[in-house]
Formats: sequence, C-alpha cells, structure tokens
Amino acid sequence: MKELEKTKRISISAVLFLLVVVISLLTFKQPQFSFTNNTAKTLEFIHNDSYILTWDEFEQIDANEFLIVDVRSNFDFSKAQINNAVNIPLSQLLDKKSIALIEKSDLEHPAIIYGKNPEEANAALMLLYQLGYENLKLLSVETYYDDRQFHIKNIEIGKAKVNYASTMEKSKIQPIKKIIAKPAPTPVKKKVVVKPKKKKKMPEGGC
Amino acid sequence: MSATYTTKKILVKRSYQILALILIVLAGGLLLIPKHPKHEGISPELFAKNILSTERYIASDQLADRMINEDPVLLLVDTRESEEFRNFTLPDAINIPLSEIFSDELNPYLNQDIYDIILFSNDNFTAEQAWMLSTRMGYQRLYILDGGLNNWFATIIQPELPKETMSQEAFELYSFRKAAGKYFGVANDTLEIEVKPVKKAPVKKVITKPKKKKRMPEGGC
Repeated sequence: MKELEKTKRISISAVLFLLVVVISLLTFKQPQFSFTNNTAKTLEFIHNDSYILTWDEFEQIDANEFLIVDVRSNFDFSKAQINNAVNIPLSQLLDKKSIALIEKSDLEHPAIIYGKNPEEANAALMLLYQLGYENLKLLSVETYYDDRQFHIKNIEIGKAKVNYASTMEKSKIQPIKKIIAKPAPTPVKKKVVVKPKKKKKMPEGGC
Repeated sequence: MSATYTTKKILVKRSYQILALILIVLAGGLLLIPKHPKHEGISPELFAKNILSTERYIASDQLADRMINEDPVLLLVDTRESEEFRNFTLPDAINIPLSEIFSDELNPYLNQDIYDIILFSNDNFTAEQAWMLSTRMGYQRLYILDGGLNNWFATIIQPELPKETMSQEAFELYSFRKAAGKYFGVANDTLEIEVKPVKKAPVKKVITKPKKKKRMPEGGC
C-alpha cells in the first residue's frame, strides 16, 4: 500500500511537470522586433554626416533607383509628395508591410527618408537603424504645402541663424539716457521802468 | 518474498527510470529553444511610441519662466560641441556633446532621476538625437528645448513686436518675453537719443505803459 501511494505522488508530480513544459512551449513567442544595433554603434553612425543628403545632392541622383520614404501622415502625403515616394507614416513604421519594404531596399540601394522637417525623418531613421537597417539616407529638407504648391526647402542642420555671442554682446549695450540739457540761465535784464515825468500841475483854482 | 512481488518492484523501479529519463530529455529540449535576443534598453515598440509623442518638447517661454523662477530641478544640457559651447550657452548649462553622451564621465548626468533635463542645440536636430539614444537606454525626465537656441533668440532675446491687429494674448506674451529678455541680459533695445532743447531766442518784452492822458486842468473859472 505504501509503495502504491509513492507511485501515485510521483506520477502526479510528473504530470504537473509535463504540463508546465507544454504550456511554456505553447506560450513561447518570439518578440516581433528587437534592436540589433546598440546605441554606441548608432551614435557612431549619426556622428559623421555621411548619411545626410542635401536637396541639391538629391536632385543630381537618379531617384528611380532609390526607395524614397515619406514619413509624414497619410493626409499630408495625399496632398503632395516627392515623385516616386512611398508613404510610411512614422506611426506605421513597425508594420509588417513597411518593414518588408525597407528590408527589400536595404540590400540594394539606400532608402532616402524625408518628412515635414529633418527631425521627423531623423526619428524614423534612428528607429530603423537600431533595428538593423543600415542602408539609410536622410534628406535634409523641410516640406510644406502652401498656396496650392508643394514647397521643398533645404535645411542646413545645426546651423545657428544668428551669431549668438555677438548678438548678446550687442544687446547688452546700455541705453543712452535721455539727457535734456538745461538752458543756461540768461541774465535777467533789469527792467528799467521809466517813470513818467510828472507833469507840472497846472495851478488849480479859478481866477 | 514472492517472485511476483520482486518483479513488480523491478517494474516500478524501471518506470521511475523511464519517467526520469523523459523529464531529463524535456529539460534538455529547453536548451534548444531559440535564444531570446537580448538588447540594451527598451523595446522597439516602446521606442516607436516615445518618438511619436510630442511631450518631449518644452517651449522657450516655458523654459524662460522656469529659469527665472529658479526651478531647482532644472538642468540645462548643451549637446553642441565644446567650441560652440564656449562661444555662447544658456546660463548654468553644462556641456555634453552628442558624441560623449555615453562617456563614463558625462553619462551619469543623463542617467538619473532627480533633474528635469532640458537638452538643446542650435536647432532641434542634435538635441533630438541625444534624446533618442538616451530614451532608447530608458533614461527618464529628458526634454528638448523646442527650436533650440535659434528659437530662443527669436523669442526671448529678440522677440517680434506683435501686429496691432493681434490678440491681447500676443501682446501679453510679447511683454513677458521682453521682461524675460531683460533677465537674461538684454538691455532695453530701444535706444534713447539725447535730446537737445531748442534754444529760443529770448523775446524782449517791451512794456509799454499807457500814456497818461493829459489831465485837463480842472476847475472852472
């Protein structure tokens, strides 16, 4: 009887163990994305400016060979875009479809990313680079739709618009105070009151 | 002891052995499961969520207000190169060039939970790159001065006079910016010019006294 009880306990624990293994295997799921480039490598990549493409440089290349990615919203994209650009909004960058597109281009030509400003494109670029797609270029332009026209303006990244130090120096100049010089006191001329000479009174009285 | 009992015992023993063997094999199987790729910092999904949010930006007016009120948890970090930093920077800012954000010496400034760190550069770009890499590492309380120093100069140091048709708020904002500018060392930019009083040629007063009329001698005859 004692022996049987022992067997029972062992078989129960064995079944439990099996269950745990089976459940853990079933629920095991690989995360869809993971960063493959660490921050140190990313920092190295963004530190030299070779990934930045100016508008002039862009106009000289054959745009058909490259994947041009527009990371603006669907709405902005539908109004106007650079020719041959594909719309992958920043919010949909981690969709399977978007990643497949990037992956395809990654092997052959660099993907050129632009947005409404270089910062927006930079956000997409940094996310993709850290995911392991290294064949990327950033188009340093500002794009906006105004007056029924699509404007593309080249932006010099990190450029100071004014010379800060000299501007501050200039604005430190003390204001010249309003000085109203008092007029020098003019010597007051003595008034010469000419007393009218008293006329001799004619003697009054009658005759 | 009967013979059947011994065989039973052996059978039970063997079944134990088989069970143990199965368990060992299964445990070994766990090793075969593909390695969960480990990476530093937060997950890509969370990172993507963070870069979409605009909460990281702080407007220049807001920052000026906090600086004037001497917010004790404020820490300004200049992400430009040290040469530019020496040329000009915001008051009390420390310099952490983008290339050195992970250096042993400067990293502890970013990897902390005491200060609200405001990153800035000439425009948004460099500060934003520093912000992204730090966010990826999971650092907290990081902000970006919206528009960088260019915007700082356009709003606080040299604010634009609102048009007459603009709202009351625009004028209030303008006067705030002027006052803030004074705090940051801008003297009054409307130069007062020395005014010389025009000298008036003193007019001679001629007092003419009315001539007294000749009195006719009174009295009759």
